[in-house]
Amino acid sequence: MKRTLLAAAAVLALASCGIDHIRTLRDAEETFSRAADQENRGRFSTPEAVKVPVRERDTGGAGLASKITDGTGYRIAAEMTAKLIREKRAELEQDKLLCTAYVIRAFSLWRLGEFDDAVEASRQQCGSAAPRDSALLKVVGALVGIDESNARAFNAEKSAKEQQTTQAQLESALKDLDAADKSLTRDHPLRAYLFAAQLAALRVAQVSPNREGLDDTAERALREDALKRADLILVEYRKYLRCELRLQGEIEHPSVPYWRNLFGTTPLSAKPPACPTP
Amino acid sequence: MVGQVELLMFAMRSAIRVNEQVRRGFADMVAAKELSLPLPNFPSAPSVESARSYYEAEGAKYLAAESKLRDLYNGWRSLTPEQTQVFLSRYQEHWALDEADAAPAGKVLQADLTWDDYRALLTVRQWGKSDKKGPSLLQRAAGTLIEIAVDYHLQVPGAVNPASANGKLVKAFLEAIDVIDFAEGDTAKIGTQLVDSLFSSVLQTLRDHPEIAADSKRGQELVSRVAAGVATKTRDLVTQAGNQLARDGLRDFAAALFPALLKSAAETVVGDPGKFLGLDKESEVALVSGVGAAILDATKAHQGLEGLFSQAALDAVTKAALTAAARYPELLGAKGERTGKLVAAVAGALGTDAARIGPGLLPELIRLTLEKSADNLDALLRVDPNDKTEKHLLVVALKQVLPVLASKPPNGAKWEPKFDAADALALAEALVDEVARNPQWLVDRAGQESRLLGDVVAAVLEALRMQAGPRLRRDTAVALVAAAVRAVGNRLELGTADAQGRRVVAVVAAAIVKTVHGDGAALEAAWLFARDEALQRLADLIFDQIAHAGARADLPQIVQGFLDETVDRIRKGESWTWQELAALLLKELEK
Repeated sequence: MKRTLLAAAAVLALASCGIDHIRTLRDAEETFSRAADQENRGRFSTPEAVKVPVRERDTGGAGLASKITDGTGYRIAAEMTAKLIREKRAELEQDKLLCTAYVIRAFSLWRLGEFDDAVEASRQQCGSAAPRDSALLKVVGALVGIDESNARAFNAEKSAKEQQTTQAQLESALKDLDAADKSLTRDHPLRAYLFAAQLAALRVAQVSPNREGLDDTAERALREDALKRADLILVEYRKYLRCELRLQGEIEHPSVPYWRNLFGTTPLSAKPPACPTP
Repeated sequence: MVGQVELLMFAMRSAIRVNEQVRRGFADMVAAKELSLPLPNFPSAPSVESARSYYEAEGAKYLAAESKLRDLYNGWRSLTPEQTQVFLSRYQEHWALDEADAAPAGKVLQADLTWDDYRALLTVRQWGKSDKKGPSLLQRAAGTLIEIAVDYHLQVPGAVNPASANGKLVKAFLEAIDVIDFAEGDTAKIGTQLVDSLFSSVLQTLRDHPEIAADSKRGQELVSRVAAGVATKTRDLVTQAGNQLARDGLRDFAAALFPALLKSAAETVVGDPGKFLGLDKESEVALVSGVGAAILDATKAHQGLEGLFSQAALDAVTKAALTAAARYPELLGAKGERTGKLVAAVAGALGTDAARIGPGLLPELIRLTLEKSADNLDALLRVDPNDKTEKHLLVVALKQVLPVLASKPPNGAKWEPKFDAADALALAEALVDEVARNPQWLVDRAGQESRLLGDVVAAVLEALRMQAGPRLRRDTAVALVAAAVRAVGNRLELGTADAQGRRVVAVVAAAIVKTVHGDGAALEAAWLFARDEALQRLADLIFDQIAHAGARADLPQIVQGFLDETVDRIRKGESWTWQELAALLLKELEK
């Protein structure tokens, strides 16, 4: 009887040990997701976030996360993953979770405005990453670039030099986002996010020339270029929603007119696609 | 006897493995976990740039009509906050107006974007649907598999030792399952449950049919291929199933089919290789796997099929299908792929009438058809000259007979019992034997389908219903009908209708039951022939003799005279034997 109890205890003890690092990473994922949910909700749900003209909520990139949402969640997630990577790197590698840990850390730091650390975390060697994590690690620099460009557009300084920096940064961001998109299968759910990030970059590109005080001709040319590119991306985005995610019907997914309204564009240049039968 | 130390060591080894599996599964889950992703900062509400872009293009028409708007447009780069508000409000109105104009008549306008709309798009899984995913079915099921293995360890020694024959076979199964992907959600849950069941079946088969493991390479190939085939086909069917009930039904059916396939394979392919001479080992395995997939596929063609079978019925059907497919690869496909069509055809043709008679009949009829097909399928399949479709004569036969058995007794019937599934099956077995011996029952001289079998059964049954008393037992009635059909099989004229629509076998059957069970039946005769075997023997004797006597118009009268004389002998207490009765009838027929 005693031996049986010992055996049972051994079984239970063995079955529960060695997974603390996984549990911690799961907690970090959940903390990060909650913070992201809260921030996104603020962007899309509150009337002042959506309806109020942008000039009335002009904000710099670095501080935005803490203004729209409580940055505590991102901070906790960043610290949890930093400690985890430091102390349990081998275990994470063995369980193929190191890249996921770096994703959480890099994205948390990005939202906290610690851009250099975020980019550095995204460039760490973590072995073979799964599709989403691999694509996300590739775009941290691009996301930082969009944030910095947005902050530049709304800062006190208005200059052609700033506009040049923004243009270069956004071009690079769009290139990285496009490359990440191409690395995924066509039906991958991350593509919706990458489309949104590209449109966000082009939206900054649309407003920046005016905010940097370019003359009418230059301003209009750059703004129209941003519009054309946004139109092409929206056509692709709508195709993805309809043909890959099968979000099709008579009514367009509301995110499509949302972006069109932001850009001030009327119906897209192409008709809705005919999707092949799955 | 397993000692405490061994048990303890086994428990620890199991625990280590459990831990490893738990850890792997947990890690996969965390890696695959959905993440909400924040967007970068961007001007997320319409701005003067939005309005300017709009009025430069589609909105230009509004500028011409509104001078105040024109002023705002022209001075857009130096507007006060109040002017900005007005400019943007006009923009939003005009933009919404254009959207309304562009919407087809009667269509609802697009609602504003809400967080819930976007949340779904910004909450991102690790894997796309078409990605080669991380957590396999095996990993999902790992925990339960180990529990099962522990349960079976004492019953199947070596099942978890990869060096033993049993262990190699278990390993082959796990490797086969490991590469199968079930999608997320309900399908994955069903996949896990299915793998648990299949794994139990493997261990059960090892216990009951050690010969599979003994034939090491073939056994491993058999188990891995059949398991992979069943799991893959089930996954495909589950994905297409319309609701949870259907998905659960498919899971249960597949879980019952897999052991049936292994058992059938053990008893036929492995246990009796003589039946499969001519097939190499690769073909044998392919056949078992193919038949399994074909039977699963039949559930698509016949809705509800998966819920019909008991394990025993499915075992028998599987074995019969396997044997038939092995014998007739030219008709059922090299991998038995057309056995499913046959199963579905039987179910489709007979399902309704079988259900009217009783539960459990249809799977038995499927088994019966497959078993008989294994003997002479080539003679039983024919192409219908009318619609050029392939018809199975046993199915045609049963389709003629089942409605007769299921129908209500006619008005004025003296004998009214309803036939149950066992009665119907007994008659079906007799009739199917007869048709298998002589397929001409169902084909007339012009090659068209003949209704003779159904007409004979109906006529004889009606005669029994009208003439027999309540003491006639159902199984005796079934035996009388079968004897009458056999008589027609020996002499066609006994079953064909005369000018008045009468058939000799029906008239004779009526005479027999009237004499024994009828209203004026002699007590002594009734006493003697009330025993079923005696009545059946009397009927067999009469039908056998008249079948050999040739076509005569007065046969009914001769038989009635014979019956009267027999009853008279019995009533007088005279001695008699079956030989004497046969001689007596023969003498009458020779007059």
